[in-house]
Amino acid sequence: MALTVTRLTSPTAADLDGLAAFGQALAAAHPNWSCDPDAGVAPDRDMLDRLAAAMTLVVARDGPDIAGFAAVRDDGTIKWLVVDPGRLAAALGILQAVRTRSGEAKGKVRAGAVRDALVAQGCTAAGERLTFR
Amino acid sequence: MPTANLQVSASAGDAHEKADGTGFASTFTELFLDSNSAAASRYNGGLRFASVAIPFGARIDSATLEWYVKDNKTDSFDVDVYGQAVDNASDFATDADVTSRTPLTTATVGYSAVDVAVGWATVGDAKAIVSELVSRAGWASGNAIVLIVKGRTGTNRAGNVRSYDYSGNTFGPKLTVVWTAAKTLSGSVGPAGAVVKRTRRSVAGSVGPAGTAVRLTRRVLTGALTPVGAIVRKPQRTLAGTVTPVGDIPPRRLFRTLTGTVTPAGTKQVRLSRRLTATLTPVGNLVLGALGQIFGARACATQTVSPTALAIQVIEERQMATMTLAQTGRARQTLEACA
Repeated sequence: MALTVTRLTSPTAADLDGLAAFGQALAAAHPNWSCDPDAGVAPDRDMLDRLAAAMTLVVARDGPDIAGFAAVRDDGTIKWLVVDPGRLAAALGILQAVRTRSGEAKGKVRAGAVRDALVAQGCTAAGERLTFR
Repeated sequence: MPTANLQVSASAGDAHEKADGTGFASTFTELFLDSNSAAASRYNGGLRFASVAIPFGARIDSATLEWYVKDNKTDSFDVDVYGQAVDNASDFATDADVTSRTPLTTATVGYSAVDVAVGWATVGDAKAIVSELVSRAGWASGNAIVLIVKGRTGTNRAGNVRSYDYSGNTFGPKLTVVWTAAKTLSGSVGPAGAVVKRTRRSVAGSVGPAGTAVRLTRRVLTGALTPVGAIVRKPQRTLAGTVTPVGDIPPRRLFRTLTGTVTPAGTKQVRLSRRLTATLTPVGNLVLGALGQIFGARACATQTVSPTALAIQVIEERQMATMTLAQTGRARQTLEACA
């Protein structure tokens, strides 16, 4: 399926419900996952609602399925990146979208940038090989 | 210095609510403290500290407000902290409201920070707020303080802090107040309703009933401070002699100059020459023409005025004098009594 990345400038209740469900499912499926949702903090509906008010949400979909999302600050930096560990390519797509918006040339984001972002969040260890699909 | 270690101590001791008045919650395990230009997305928080054992008028040396940042996603703040300007603030079960709680203190503390680490964060020094609250006339040690945290409108930030309901007193917001007791007043001042301002040191004299507020005592007051409703300000000098609030000074007592303030409204201040004694009486009268009366007198001269007018009894040198201080009205006298 093709990966699509969308910026939710005015997220609907359905958008936020979908992201919350995605986050809760991730937390349930990966209880030991060190990446976000971080220890005990799943992206619930209240939190997403407030993050949407404070930042911009960028969503990556693999076909109809949500593969990940990010909360992006006004300066273009990522506050929170939540991706399905089985679909890390979603993270790449999100980063591409964000970086493009912030002025970097499209296509310059590489796997290393994804890894750095995930390492920064504690999602994975530095040097760990990531597989994108 | 005494320290009050305060912490939100009940589920109803903290709450949050959107700035548009919706979304009130006091049982969440976290408090939302968001800044946002839209009222519907802006959250205010309330923190109640009960049993604040700080006496009225205490000097507040510091009041450190801390809260526990819950996670590293909603960890940015742009807020102003106020106090609820009441004598004894109610909890959030009794008054299920945060946004509309008024009045607020004039004093405030701002806190703006992004990406705060998870853990205890020092919000700032709220001593001006606490000072304003414990200086209220109706404040009493053991009352409760409520701080209102209002999200600002110029930024869009989401901040979460742990509430009492997360783990009781382990992570609930804290307020540590270091204070110094006000100087002891050697007596209080005046009857009910009277307010004496700007007195910073001891007040020597009689002390009136409940409801009297004494603030900022600056000078020594000697003599009685009296009548009901009177406001006594800045007495400049010692009163030598007996100055009773109401009543008479017995004869043969006034052998020295009596200087001071003796009473209330409506009476004109008069300075009488030496070797004169006088009787000042009832309400609202003016002392007029006393000297002229005296100069014309060879022996004991007496001028009596009706009860509603001023009665001046002028007695020449070496005569006995009686002085009555007005019950109301104000007179400043320089008197010398006769042997």
